Amino acid sequence: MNEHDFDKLLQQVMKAPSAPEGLQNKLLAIADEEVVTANAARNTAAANDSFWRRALPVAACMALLLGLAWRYQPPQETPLTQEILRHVYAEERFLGSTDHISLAEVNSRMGTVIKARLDSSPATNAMDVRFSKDCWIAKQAAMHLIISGDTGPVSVMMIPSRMVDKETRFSDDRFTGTITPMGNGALVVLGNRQEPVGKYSSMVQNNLHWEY
Amino acid sequence: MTSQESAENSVMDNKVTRRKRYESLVSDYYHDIFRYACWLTRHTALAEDLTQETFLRAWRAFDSLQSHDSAKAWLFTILRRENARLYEKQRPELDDIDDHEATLPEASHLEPDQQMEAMMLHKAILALEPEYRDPLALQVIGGFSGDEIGAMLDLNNNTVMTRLFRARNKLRSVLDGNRDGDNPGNSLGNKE
Repeated sequence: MNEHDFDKLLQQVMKAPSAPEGLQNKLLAIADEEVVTANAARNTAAANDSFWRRALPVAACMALLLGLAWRYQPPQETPLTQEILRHVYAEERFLGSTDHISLAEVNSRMGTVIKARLDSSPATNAMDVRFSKDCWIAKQAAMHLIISGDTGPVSVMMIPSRMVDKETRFSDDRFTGTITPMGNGALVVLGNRQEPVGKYSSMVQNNLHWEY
Repeated sequence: MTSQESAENSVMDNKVTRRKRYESLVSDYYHDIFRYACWLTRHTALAEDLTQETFLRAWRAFDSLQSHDSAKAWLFTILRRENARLYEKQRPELDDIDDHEATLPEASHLEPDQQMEAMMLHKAILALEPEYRDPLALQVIGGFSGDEIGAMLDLNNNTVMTRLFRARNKLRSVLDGNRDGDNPGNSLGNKE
């Protein structure tokens, strides 16, 4: 094979992977999501700058919103449960991870990402962590662990600034989970429908410390 | 038009311009970024995640990009940094891309002989040590010069050129060995 043919074949092989359908739209959506967030922040700042000029329409909007809120109060955790399930399905491939990650490694990453750590205790030392990653959940950085449960992999997600007002159970055809308020954040534990997720939630609650 | 309205319009114009520049960046480079991510992670799903992380970081740091001309090297550098942060230390156990036909050239574009050679070359590239595969991918996919690759990998130009030369020789020897029938033990060497 001459040099020219070799180069041509090398180009064909190395450039063969083609981006999945829909990836371009996902990448463009990054800008949309961030712009929405930035707009919300800018609008808040603008309202503060000229309070009196905007007071009347703001008051009218507030009255309308309060009226609507009085008539309809959506359950606070519903969107979060959807986000959790969507995230778990999106990262389903990691449920089969066979790594064994030490508590020290987990704490090192947790400290950086969410300013929290797990105490060293018989329960946490016995915990078999298969996966540990910082994730984007509920529009903020969160910690996602996958540990070995009684019947399969158990996802543990710690979201530092997502406040929930009460413990919530949720499930779908495949998974069952629990969301528990912890400090200013939320602890999510999710596993197979047969999994005693409450046991793992208690274990994490008893050993987790936010470092605010 | 009041000065406040003028300022708001200016902000809006800047945002529209920024958004258009970002769209252009995505359109021009996302294929190459994904391809490079595939060879770096050796897994298509991880590569997709990595591509999204790369563009998320790029969007957030977009104001630091001096010009569109330097955008490609900038994106590849972000990708390498994100790969190191997310996956190099604890890459999950996953099937590598040599199990995925989607990452091979489309058979319709190749002659039968070339299809076999493409498969062999694909396996041989995956079998290369990262120190050889990485600069090769940057050269072939990114089109970067030795100096540019050296800057990304923190190597001098001579080292980069030596690694590129050796990488190509290793790959050629796999293909030539099969062509001459010198490598009967290769499971992919049963050319018809």
